[in-house]
Amino acid sequence: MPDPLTIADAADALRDGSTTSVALTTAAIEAADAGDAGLGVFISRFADQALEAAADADRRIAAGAGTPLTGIPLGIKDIITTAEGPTTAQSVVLDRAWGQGDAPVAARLRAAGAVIVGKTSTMEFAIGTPDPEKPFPIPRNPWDPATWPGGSSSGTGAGVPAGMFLGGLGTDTGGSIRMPAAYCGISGLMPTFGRVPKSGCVPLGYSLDHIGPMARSARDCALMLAVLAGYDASDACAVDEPVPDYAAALDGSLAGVRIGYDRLARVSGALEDPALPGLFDATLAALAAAGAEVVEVELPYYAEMVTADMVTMVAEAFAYHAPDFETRWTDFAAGTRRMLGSALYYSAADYVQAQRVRRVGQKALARLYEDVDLVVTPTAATGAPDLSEVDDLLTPERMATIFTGYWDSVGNPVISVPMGFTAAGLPLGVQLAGRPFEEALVLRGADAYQRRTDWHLRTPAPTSVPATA
Amino acid sequence: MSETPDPVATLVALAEVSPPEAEMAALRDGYAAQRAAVRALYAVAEARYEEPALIFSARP
Repeated sequence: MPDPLTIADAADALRDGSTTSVALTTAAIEAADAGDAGLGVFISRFADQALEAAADADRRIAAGAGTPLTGIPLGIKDIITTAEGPTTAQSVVLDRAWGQGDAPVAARLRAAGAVIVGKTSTMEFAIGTPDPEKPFPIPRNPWDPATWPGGSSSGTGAGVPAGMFLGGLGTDTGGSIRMPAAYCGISGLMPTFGRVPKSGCVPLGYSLDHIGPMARSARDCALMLAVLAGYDASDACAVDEPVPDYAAALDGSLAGVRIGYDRLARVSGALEDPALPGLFDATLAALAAAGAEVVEVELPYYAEMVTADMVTMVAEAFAYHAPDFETRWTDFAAGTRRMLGSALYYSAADYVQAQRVRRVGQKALARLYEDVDLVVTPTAATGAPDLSEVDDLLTPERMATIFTGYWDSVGNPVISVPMGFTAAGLPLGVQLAGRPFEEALVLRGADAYQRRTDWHLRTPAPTSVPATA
Repeated sequence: MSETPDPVATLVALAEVSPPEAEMAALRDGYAAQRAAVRALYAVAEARYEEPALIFSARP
């Protein structure tokens, strides 16, 4: 387990000489040696290259150069290309010749001096559920290896609390950064759509895909976003907006900030975990203690935005995979087939209507944001499901317990941070969402909350990590 | 247009994919609820004259 636990603290320690990148990276490699067989965090590991990069980072830091990410061990979800080798998207279908070299986000992290320790597990093509019939690891949750870490950024979510890296990249099309962040007790930011270039990432939903940081704290996410954000012409959806100094905005105060909250209990109903209401109340109290004014709101067009996210995601993904579906249907994982097969329900007109309703939802939400600066909801109504029950998540009743797809439909920035534990000791998360391109305020709200809580610093007991799968 | 007796079979044939029978059954089970959810999108009055959130540029 690397020490310190956070990127921010590690960056300070690297500069005051109390640690080195080689030491941090070695600790991360040792944690992976001990735990990866049981937790299924990695698809591929780059220990030798990582140690070389760490030694180079130490030289840069000793020379007074580098960035806050220099020398920091990170993991990258294996649907994003890196120079070290083929990307799998956790699929036997994907052409291994696809995607040579670093994606823009990987190149930016590498240029900032980050140490890439490996490619992390997902669900096939970032959708579906784990499939034991396929030749890939089954990701497990460090808080209870009998449970799922969430997905689809499963390995990045599990690897942070397990100490296998200090942060990493996930992708989010319906909640794939925030769901594993919540289930694994870490922070995960979905930036505004277009804020971070997504070229070099295997597409799931062209108009929904986001790449974003996952790490212990909102401050760590801010440090990573400062490197990841910015226009790149290789992504037709990338937006040329100035990149502010996200970390500089983290002053711990929410004075003058008005926060709307929606419990969404009307959506999850009886499946809501009994611990959630009290923890959510405590979260609101902590935000108020930071100076925020907290008022109840109702997210407009909630059901319609969730439907639009699903219609758009599966239709766009089906178009991408159609040639392989025709000839290699059973080579896809069962959960992938089940999820993407639902694209057959929808017509071309349905797809266009979903895009019209997304505009309606965006405008209604913009009106809500005339009254409040941030919106807070639970990330999911329950803790991580048992792996034996994970396929049940694909039923409408269980999917309704995950409150993430709304924000993909509208494209606003949103972070999930830990807000406590269920009675069974499984993490629960809370989302803070802002106006488009106001990641700085989203991060400031989450950081202010984390200055008053320590949920994000909790670590699962090593004894809960099995030596083998 | 009249409803076919097995719309899922028609849609599967149109897509030229071949799910095994168990997956066909699952697709049939989910069909009605998903269609109802999509029909609800057409019931959003504000969408009547809304432009879709699609991206197109004359520059490739």
